[in-house]
Amino acid sequence: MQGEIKADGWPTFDERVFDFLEDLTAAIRRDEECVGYPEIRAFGFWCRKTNLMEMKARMNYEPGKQYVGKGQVFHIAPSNVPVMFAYSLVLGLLAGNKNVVRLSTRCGEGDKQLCRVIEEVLAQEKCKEMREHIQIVQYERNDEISRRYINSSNACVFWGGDETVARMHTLIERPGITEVSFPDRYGLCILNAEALKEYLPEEMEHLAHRFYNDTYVMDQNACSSPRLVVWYGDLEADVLKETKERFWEALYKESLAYPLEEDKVCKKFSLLAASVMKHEGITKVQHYDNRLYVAEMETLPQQIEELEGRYGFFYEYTTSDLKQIGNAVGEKLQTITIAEMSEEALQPLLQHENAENLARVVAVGQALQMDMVWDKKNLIEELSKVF
Amino acid sequence: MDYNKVLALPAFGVNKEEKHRLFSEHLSELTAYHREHCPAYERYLSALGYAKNGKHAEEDIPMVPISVFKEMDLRSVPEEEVFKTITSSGTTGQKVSKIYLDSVTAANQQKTLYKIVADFTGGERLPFLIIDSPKVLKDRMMFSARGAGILGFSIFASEMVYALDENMNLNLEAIENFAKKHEGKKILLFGFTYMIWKHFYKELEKQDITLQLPEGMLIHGGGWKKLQAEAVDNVTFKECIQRRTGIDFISDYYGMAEQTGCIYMECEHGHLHVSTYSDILIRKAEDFSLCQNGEEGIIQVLSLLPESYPGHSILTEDRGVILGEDDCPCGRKGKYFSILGRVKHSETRGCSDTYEG
Repeated sequence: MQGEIKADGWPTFDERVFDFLEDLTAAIRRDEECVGYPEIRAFGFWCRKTNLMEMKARMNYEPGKQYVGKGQVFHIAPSNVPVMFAYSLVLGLLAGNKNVVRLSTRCGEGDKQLCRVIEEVLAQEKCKEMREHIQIVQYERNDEISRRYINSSNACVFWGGDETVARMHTLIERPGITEVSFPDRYGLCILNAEALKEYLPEEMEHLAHRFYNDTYVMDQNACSSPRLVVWYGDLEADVLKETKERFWEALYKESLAYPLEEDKVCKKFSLLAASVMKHEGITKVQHYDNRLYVAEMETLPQQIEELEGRYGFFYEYTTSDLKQIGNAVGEKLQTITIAEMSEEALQPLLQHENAENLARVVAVGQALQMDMVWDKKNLIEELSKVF
Repeated sequence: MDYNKVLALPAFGVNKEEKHRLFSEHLSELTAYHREHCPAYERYLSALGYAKNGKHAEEDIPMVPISVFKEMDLRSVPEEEVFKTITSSGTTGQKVSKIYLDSVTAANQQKTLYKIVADFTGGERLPFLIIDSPKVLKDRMMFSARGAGILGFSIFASEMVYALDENMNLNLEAIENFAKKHEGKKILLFGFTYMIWKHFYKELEKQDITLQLPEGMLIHGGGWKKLQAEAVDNVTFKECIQRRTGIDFISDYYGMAEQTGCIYMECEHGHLHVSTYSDILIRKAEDFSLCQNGEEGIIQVLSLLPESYPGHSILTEDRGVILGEDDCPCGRKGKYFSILGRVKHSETRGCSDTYEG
């Protein structure tokens, strides 16, 4: 571990980083083990040059100015989001920095494989310089070690929610260390009931598949995974009922692919019971085996974030007035996923004062899509400096 | 429903058909009763679509997941009628279950426990050696499961002596005096499984002491999780204790704070037995359908005892398997089963780090 890095970093979006990522992308594509991990393949795809150039084009670069990395960045990766450490690392590299990334000791097999591939690429003679820019470390929770990494860096990226962010924050001892933190957030889904009413079976299946990717794939526990599904529109009762049923049935079919462990069933069932007992607004619960629970709400709670759902447990609410939704959201709302919703229709919610931290509105299926701008923070901007 | 009528039945004398009929009828009544007196429970059943005043077969009685007793205060009696609150064991910082008893339910729990244990020990009051320290009963504010267990079993005590001192060390003097005083007579020993292993057996080993208690009957409960970590199973436990104490009758029991009183005791054939006053069903995780005998799944416990709180049908977080019904070689009627441990922990994905201590 070095002392404080005083030297500037590389320019942002440097060719050398592009070259490395090209090698990495190719290595991932070739790798026999990585074939079995769709999230690693998705990461490889994300690292392709066209995507990197697209991100660069979105930067507000002023002519005549130089943009370079701050120096060294220390990343705390979330313990249970596969491949997240690698996205954070790449953003740190694109911003022109040397990076130390703490990978959780509880990381999954996929992460281990990806580390192996990264190591293999870095072992090449031509990657000698790049090797100094990437250090992936693992250690059991140890504030002392974290403290030393943090304070010998120019910037830190803390993933992992309120608790982690709060703990890591207390370890910062020097002023001037940039802190990019990702506290607890949640997501919401808005479906246009009138449009979905017209969906053909295949269209409903595709929608359900995309919705599955936003939710079950991460145990419905990613910050952007929706817990509440809002049916937007003013349909006749039995037409609405039928539309909803078609959606949930299609999702149930998707959920058959989900590894439903006993432990998760117990937790999910507990969440359901506690939730129904606590929230008087829940009037009816449908369950599709233990794979999918849907709690229909007649009234919303004070704060939508109170609604806990995991492992395939969703709440649903119908309204044609999104201001109602706005009244019940707060600073933790980060992502809204939509199907067939126009900008116009969304305005009452997007403009609502409560949605201050709303960072993105994306199509169903894109909730977990990583970008250089996350939670309203442009990581390249945060981790670089301008002359 | 008059629980006394149920209590009058022999503890292990009811066969399959009679049991099913008895339970379907009484559990339906209990469900209706709790719906009327516990608003949260009513909301739950209503949202799940259970018709009011429905008559359910035993296997269709709705289940409450055991952890809900940690999240909600579930009571079917007004607060002023709460006689005693039992809490489940938990490490500091962890939420514990709160079980609210009125005097009727509390008394019924004692009577039920008596009938079940008496079937094994004979029922007369016996000298009682508690494998714990006197401290365990001193904190009356929150009545923990360990304290509840000891007090519950104390109904069998003609006298009570603690085997451990205030610091959890062997009180050899007390133990030896006790053994001497009751030499040749039937005595009862009781404690939590892990306590007995760690503070009693291992200490006897360490100090190379062998007690002579051939008339002793050891009843223990609390689970095998910690002993599993030391690679000690039931067979090993029995052998070791037998060697150091001469005790032949060693009986494990399965029970929980959420259904205090109706415990499941181990017979001489190593089977845990379901008494007349409770029942067990094994459920599949996929859809909570019933497992056949011999099929492993999640344990649901049913009991006719809980009147002051809606705890008559609970889905536990334990795995088990029913071995048979009415035909155990020990002669007791009813189901007998095995516990296979807790539902296995799996990692949850997601951005928020849940710090699991």
